[in-house]
Amino acid sequence: MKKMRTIFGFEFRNYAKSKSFLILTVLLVAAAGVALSIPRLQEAFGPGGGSPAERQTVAVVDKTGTGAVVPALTAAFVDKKVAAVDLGIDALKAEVGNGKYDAAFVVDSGLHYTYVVKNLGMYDTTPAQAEEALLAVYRSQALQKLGVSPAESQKILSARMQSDVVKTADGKDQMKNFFFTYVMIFVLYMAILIYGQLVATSVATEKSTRAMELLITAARPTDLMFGKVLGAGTAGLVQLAAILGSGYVFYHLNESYYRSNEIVQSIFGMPASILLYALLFFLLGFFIYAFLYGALGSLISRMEELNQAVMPVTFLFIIAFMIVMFSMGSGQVDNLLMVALSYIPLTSPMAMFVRIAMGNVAGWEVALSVLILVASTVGIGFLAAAIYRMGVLLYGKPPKPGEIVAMLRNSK
Amino acid sequence: MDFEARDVVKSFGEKQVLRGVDLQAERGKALGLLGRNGAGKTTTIRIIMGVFPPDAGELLLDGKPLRHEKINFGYLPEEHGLYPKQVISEQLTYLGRLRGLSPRDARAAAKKWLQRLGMEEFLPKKLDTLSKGNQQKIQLAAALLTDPDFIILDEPFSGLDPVNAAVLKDIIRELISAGKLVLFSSHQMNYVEEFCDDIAILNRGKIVLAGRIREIKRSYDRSRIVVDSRQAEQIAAWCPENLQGIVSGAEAEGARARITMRSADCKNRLLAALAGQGFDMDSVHVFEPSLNDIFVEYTEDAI
Repeated sequence: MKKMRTIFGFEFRNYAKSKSFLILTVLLVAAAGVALSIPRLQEAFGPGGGSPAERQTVAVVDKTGTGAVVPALTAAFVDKKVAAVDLGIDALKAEVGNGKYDAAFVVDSGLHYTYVVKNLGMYDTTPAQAEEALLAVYRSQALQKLGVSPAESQKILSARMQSDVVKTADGKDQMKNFFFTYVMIFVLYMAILIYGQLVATSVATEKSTRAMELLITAARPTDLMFGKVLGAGTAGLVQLAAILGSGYVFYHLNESYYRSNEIVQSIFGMPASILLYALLFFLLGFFIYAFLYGALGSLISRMEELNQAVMPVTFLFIIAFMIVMFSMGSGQVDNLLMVALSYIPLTSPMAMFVRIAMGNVAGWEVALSVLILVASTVGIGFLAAAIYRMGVLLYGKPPKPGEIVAMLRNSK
Repeated sequence: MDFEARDVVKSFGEKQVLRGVDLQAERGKALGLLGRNGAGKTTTIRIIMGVFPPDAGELLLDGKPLRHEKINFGYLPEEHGLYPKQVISEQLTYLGRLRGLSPRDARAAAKKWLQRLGMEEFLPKKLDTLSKGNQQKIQLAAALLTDPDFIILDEPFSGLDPVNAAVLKDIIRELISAGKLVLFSSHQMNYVEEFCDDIAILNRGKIVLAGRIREIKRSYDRSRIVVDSRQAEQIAAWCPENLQGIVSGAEAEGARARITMRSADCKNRLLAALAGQGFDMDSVHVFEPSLNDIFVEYTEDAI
């Protein structure tokens, strides 16, 4: 235990004092601060989105002859200028092409229009807005023909449905939980990849400089492996706490700007229970992978071989991440694959966390998953120490999985 | 016998690296472990250190099985085994603490050894900013930090200039006279001869020659006499002609004559004859093979 503390302290200080660690932490804290202050900065420095100078101009050709199209579109495009013109389609294409107009509508009849635009943007809502306005014009005119007064038809057309949603006590609001779940899974993903690599590199460096031979004669492999992984883990957590903590502080400084932003509000309004689950799965997921990376690092003799050696674990992890992300995107977080993944140690930190946050899981399911994960993490920790012990002997070609198993069996 | 390795066997996969190694070392007398590249020296050292266990055989200390956790080893590996990117004082303190020193003692020991090596100003520096020789000295400090009882030096002189080599020689002599177990592995035979009373030559995983250097040398044929004289050529010419009963051949090389006698017993008669002839001789001694010659003789066939 005492030696493990010494190793832990040495490793932790190595990370915490390294320049890259400090620079990365400062940069990420600054990035969090800037990102969360963007609305405030925009207000302080920007001219604001709706200034007349920047307003787009939309040309409208009304061929319906009702005269209702231009006023309706002018009302619909609150942030755009609408210019009524009388041009052919080719002339309009030329005008839009040379930038005189940003877009143009040719309304041929009550139910058909042509939209002329230079680049069709991915999030271009102009046609949708136009469609709504034009449909309203068509319906109102149709109703008038049937003898409904304009005021009455207006009332019918602008009617809105009122609704209330009542969730059962254990139900989840997937929409609301999606964003913070997404953030936590992404943070977990980045932290495991980055710190896993760091642990692997640290072990591989000791192996390649032969410092490992001195260490192995001075301390037990379990002390070394657990000390190293805990040191890296603590450094990682300190870094994350600094970044997330500063994010939280910056959010509160700018809270008034986020009143209407549900995404940001949902991320920072994460329930405490979810946060605790995130921490639990984060720790376990972090350590199980760090042990694996450490063990792999001990198998190589030259630093160049490191990337190749850790590749299988990295791939496995990325595949698990993708499955979890796709399931989240589809909203089916309790599908059969996800249920299976939420019990498999290497995938359960992500899969079970997502199911807790966005799906329906019983308490015993969570408990079982955590139990399996804790047991596997400790088991893999000892296995990693045994592989590390054996790794001292291995110089030359990295061994195949079968050879590792054979050697572990012989060393017992 | 203070330390003994008996019939140590070790294989890596199909390859048998040690095929029954026997070693004996005494406190206060350095043992030189010699062998060509790949003979199994480093494997032997690693087994003694407990880096990995032997497949068969035993290690004894004072007749009892050696328990690695009870022994304070000091190991100077041939390849550098420290952290290149770390501050020297920190990594020395770390290694000292791992080997059981308190933080304060570890810091004090690191300082003491760097002072002894004249390198105190390097304490706050990073290891990879030092020259190779200086890194070797830091490595030595790391090995001796905990005042170990059993010291293993693997090629300790590699990369050291003559001044640093002299510092290291002093330290090794101190360790030997302090009654430590010292195992010394090197290809540089002059250093081995300088420090070691005993040698063991390892060849293809077996000890092919072991014992006191002095006795090994005496065991060689003692029928050759070396005479240092400015009249070496006359001596080399005179002996075979006039001492046919005693001398079978002679040759001169510069101011040195080598005379081969018919038997080692003829030594005194040869000396009397040379003295009676009035040759001006600076020294006369029995030719002994150098450690280098012995080493080559026992390992030439290997690998």
